[in-house]
Amino acid sequence: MEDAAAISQQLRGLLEFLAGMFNADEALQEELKGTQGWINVTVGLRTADNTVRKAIAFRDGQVSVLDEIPADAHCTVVYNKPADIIEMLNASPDESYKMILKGRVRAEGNIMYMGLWNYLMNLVAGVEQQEAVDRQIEEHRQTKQVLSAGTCAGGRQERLARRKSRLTGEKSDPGVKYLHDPYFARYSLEDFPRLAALREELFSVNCEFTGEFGKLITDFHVENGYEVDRNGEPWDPLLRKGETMRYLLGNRKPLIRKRDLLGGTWTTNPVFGGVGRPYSEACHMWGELNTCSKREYEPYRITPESIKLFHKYVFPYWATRNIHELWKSEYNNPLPAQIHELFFAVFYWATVSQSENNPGFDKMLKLGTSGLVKKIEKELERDKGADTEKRHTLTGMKLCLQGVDAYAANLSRQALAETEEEADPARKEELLSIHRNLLKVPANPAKTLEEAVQSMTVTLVCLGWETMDASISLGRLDQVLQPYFEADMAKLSTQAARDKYTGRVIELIGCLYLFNASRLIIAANLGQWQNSGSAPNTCVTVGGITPDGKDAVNDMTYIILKVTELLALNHPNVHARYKPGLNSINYLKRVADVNYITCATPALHNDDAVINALSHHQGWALEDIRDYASTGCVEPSIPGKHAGTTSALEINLVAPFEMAMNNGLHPISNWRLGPQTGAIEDGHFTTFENFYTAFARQCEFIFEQAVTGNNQLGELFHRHHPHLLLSALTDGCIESGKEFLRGGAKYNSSGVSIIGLADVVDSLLVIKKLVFEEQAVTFKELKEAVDGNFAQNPALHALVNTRVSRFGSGDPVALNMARRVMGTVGDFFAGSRDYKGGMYTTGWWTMAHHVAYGRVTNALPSGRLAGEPFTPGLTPHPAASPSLLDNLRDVAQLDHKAMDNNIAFNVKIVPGADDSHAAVVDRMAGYMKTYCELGGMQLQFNVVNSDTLKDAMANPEHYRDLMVRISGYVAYFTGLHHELQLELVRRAEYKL
Amino acid sequence: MSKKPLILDIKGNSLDDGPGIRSVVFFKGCPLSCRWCHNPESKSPRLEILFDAAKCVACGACAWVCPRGALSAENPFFVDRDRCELCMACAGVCPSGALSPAGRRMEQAEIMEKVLRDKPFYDNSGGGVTFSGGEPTLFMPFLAGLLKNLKEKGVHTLIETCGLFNLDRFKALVLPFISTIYFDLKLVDPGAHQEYCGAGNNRILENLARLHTLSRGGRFEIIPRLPLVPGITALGENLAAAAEYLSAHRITRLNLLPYNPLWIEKLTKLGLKNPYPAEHPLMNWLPQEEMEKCKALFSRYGIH
Repeated sequence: MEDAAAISQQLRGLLEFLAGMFNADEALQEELKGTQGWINVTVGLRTADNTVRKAIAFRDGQVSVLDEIPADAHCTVVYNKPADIIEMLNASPDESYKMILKGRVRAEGNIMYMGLWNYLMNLVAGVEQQEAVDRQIEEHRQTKQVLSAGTCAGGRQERLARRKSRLTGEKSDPGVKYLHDPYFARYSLEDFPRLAALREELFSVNCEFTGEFGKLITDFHVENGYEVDRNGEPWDPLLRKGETMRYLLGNRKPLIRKRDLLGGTWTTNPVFGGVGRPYSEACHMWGELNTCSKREYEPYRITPESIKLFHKYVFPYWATRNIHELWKSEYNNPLPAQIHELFFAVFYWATVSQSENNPGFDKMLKLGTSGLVKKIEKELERDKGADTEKRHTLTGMKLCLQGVDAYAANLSRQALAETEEEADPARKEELLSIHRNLLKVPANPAKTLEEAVQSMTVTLVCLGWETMDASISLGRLDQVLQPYFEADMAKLSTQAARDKYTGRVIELIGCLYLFNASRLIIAANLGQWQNSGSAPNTCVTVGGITPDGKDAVNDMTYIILKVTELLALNHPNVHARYKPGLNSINYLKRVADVNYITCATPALHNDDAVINALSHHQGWALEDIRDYASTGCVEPSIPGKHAGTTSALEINLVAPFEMAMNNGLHPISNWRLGPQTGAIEDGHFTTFENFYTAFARQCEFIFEQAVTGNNQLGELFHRHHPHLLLSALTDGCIESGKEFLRGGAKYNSSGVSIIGLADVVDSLLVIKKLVFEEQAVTFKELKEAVDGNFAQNPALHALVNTRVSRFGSGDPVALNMARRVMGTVGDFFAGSRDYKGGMYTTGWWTMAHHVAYGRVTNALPSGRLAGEPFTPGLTPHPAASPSLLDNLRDVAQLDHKAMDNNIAFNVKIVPGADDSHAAVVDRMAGYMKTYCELGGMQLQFNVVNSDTLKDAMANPEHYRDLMVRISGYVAYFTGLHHELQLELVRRAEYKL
Repeated sequence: MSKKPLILDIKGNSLDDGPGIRSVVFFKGCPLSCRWCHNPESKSPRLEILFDAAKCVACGACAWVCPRGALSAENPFFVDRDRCELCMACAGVCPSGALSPAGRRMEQAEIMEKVLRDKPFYDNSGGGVTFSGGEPTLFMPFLAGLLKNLKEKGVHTLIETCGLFNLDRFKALVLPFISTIYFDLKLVDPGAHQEYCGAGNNRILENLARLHTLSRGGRFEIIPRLPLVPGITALGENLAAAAEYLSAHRITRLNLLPYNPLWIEKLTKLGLKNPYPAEHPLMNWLPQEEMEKCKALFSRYGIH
């Protein structure tokens, strides 16, 4: 108590100092003046037991300190213990996030106001805070130097050599009509100076947190209202969103990037920018406006004007209107929201976005906006008795399409205007061509490949502005573009003309890639624990089979693979489909070849397995399933037909396992959250089945919370941000008059990803074998050892590490346990319903959550120690077997039905120093082909060794574009969170 | 010689012991005793016990169950091998695997089951199964049973041999089922061979020559291998003699194997002292430029 009293006093002193400064200092006073009036906020600070409690109130420019927290405080910081208050005040970013992750500090109330509080504190304590950041950067730098001492720097040269060496491939695919050397051995990036320059530019700048979107959307709503329209009448969000989109797209700045062949930019920064929606991803940035440019990971460029704009104008308007806050206010702070904010069990990505999908780009290319409007009007004409929802949905779609037209028209004018000032005749011609293309598309159907790519570009960014630019995927780009390629080629008569033209196509696709790579999702520092280094994950999918089951590999497949090789970007996220027995070995080898050259992309998907998994979905037509494409990390969705929102929920499977071990209590957060399913200490579990039942019940509890929360968020998104342009490009929405998030699409589902499979399976195997079968240890003894992080039980730790076969060892007992757990999870989700009337699909990929969730997890019976990362995706533990083939065979034998949202199976392979490029590719293709033939669903290789990774940690300047696959997404290694870098170094490494 | 060998290990996903993706079956026991043997635990055909100090967690369980009192941290290499009767009770209770048996009797069926699991990978990579050791031809009938079975299933077979065997038996039992032979040619001088490998080399050289002649029929291939051991085999004189021998028999292929000192760490697990000081050539990797020089020497004879 004395402790509390002293800290209480200390805290009061601190707050009074702060208040005094704001009351006295003119510059600080100025920060409290918003564009729409004073920025007012009351913030409480207290310990969980309320022994320390204080508040600070900013009201009309006056700041005062209160001894009681008023009931109407905007937000309150709750500390576990008095000492945590002081520790948090002095913590570096990593230290403070570890405190948050461990539940030592949490926030109550409005998260955006919490950001405002951080913003205001930073104005006074910015220097000290930055010192803590710099201290952390320096500590990490030193750790990296120690780690890399004595490692070989050969990776630097080897990587360059890999890029220079080229294989040739014969033409052997029936769908390849024109290419005589499908591997394009003749081209390197130097042959495309335009692409080389655009790429170089991208790597030379930091992403800018831009203000245009925030300003425009706030302008619009300040002028026209949000909850009610300007006449004070209720405003149907379907119409409101349509009007908003028309305004945003019609008023955004039309820009053409220097040297680009395509008109349009993602943001006002043509090279690299983030949109920053104040109602979703950017709502967490208030507290970091002044620090994000100096942070350790992915620092943003932000102008002083933008900081002022967001702080004084944009954020105050959205403080109570952001999705996260609306979830809490409209649903009365539901249990799922409370779980979300503690970061240990479920991450509800739907608080940010609903956008992991494959829109029907082919519809835009075939019909244009004019054709789509006609289709909409025809439907309104046909269905005279349409209800209000349908009429408003369709009207909203039209408004969005008008916005698209307005943006394209502005771009076209801009291109023409730039022509007049352009001195270089070649560039002048390119600008004229951009101008002409944009006069035609996307308003009208595309006739040439260039028009098609221009149309896709404009559509992509408009969809991004409408939804949120995470994972709006380009679908089967080779299938969509091949008809235009063939039509263009047919017009050329000589081989020389055709060769020249394919070079031009490589440039065009390269420009599309670079346009797509010109944006990031604005993310707060905490995001680095969840998806460090992740791009917005627009996916491109190639290869596989056509809807009627034929070989789909074509000329564009190889052109896209060539661009993937040349640009070696982490974005788009490239996926290669492979149909065993049908797609050629030349194609598979080319996929392996590009993977080898780029170290990390593309990922491989087995058509047989994915199609089999999706075939369990009732009512899904086989020809549609065969048309699947990846989105997000690895998830399959049906382009233009499917509202899949595939990464809605990211669930820690180890949390329910730990709750089963602790009778419903989650240990690190110390929250008695789950049902009481039996205490190990009281001898409640007499058989393994007893315990498994407890685990299954805890899973069910967590999964129910996940589904409930996601369904709330889905309804909420529909009510506030319906996706109307996306609806216009999705089969079923026009006909049904129901928007994308309301179940209008032909197919509906929501996707889940499960984190920690191998760790849970291995732990269950230990309990089954050592406790119940061999009785080598009692359950109570095992639990005590686990609770004590095995510190007192090295022999037991050794025993669990060596005597129990793990998943991935080839032992059928272990494999069956994995199948059983996956069945338990998969059955639950297949039987759940989402807000769109679809089912939930189950996936086993982990973003960077295997590191973040590992941090908040105690030791496990598997022998994994407290705080250590889980294995990524559903990759077996490195100690499961010395033979990669055991891993491959086990993963290949899992049940497709329980992984209909796909898996991420990461394998790190390292070629020997003497292995030739061709030999490496042959071996990789050998693994890929066999794994697919055995039934494996997905496989992704990181072709890089630990020495290179260590060298890159210590000498990032030599490796700025070194790519690695995390779990589904691809990142630049040197920009990754420190702990994620260490996890990658630790991964099992197989010599190739 | 017992008919069933002890198997040291079956290594999956091997990429260094023949073409493609392979499994390698290691037999225990060898008629030679090369000083630099990379698998010292494979020399004796008898069961042995291994102790890995790095894995030991000092729980004391082993000493508790040992009926002979042979285990103690006081012993120079933990196991008193004079007392130990190889009952393996300790290995059974050791939680960390620090104590383990070197070698296990395996039935042919068990070996077949293990290696055939990976057949799809052999098929897609041009790989197969390699028999190594030790010396697999010490157990010809057993080896032949495995080879025959694999050949019938269409699996590529390879043996790595020291070459010291009865050729007539080899031709009758083993050769019909072999795809490739990796045949060691270590030292050409008989005296040196006797000194460093513990046996003469007349029969080895003769077997190599005769098998090479037979291989001209195209039913199998034979590739000689020469381990480049510093100060022993990687000497100009020996290499020149090897080159002369090979060209005399019109053999144009040779795999040179660079030396590495990793085997020395295994000695202590067997209770043996490392006899070499740190600066001894056998304690170090063969330098890359040395390897290049050796390669160049053979190229001058048209051997690659």
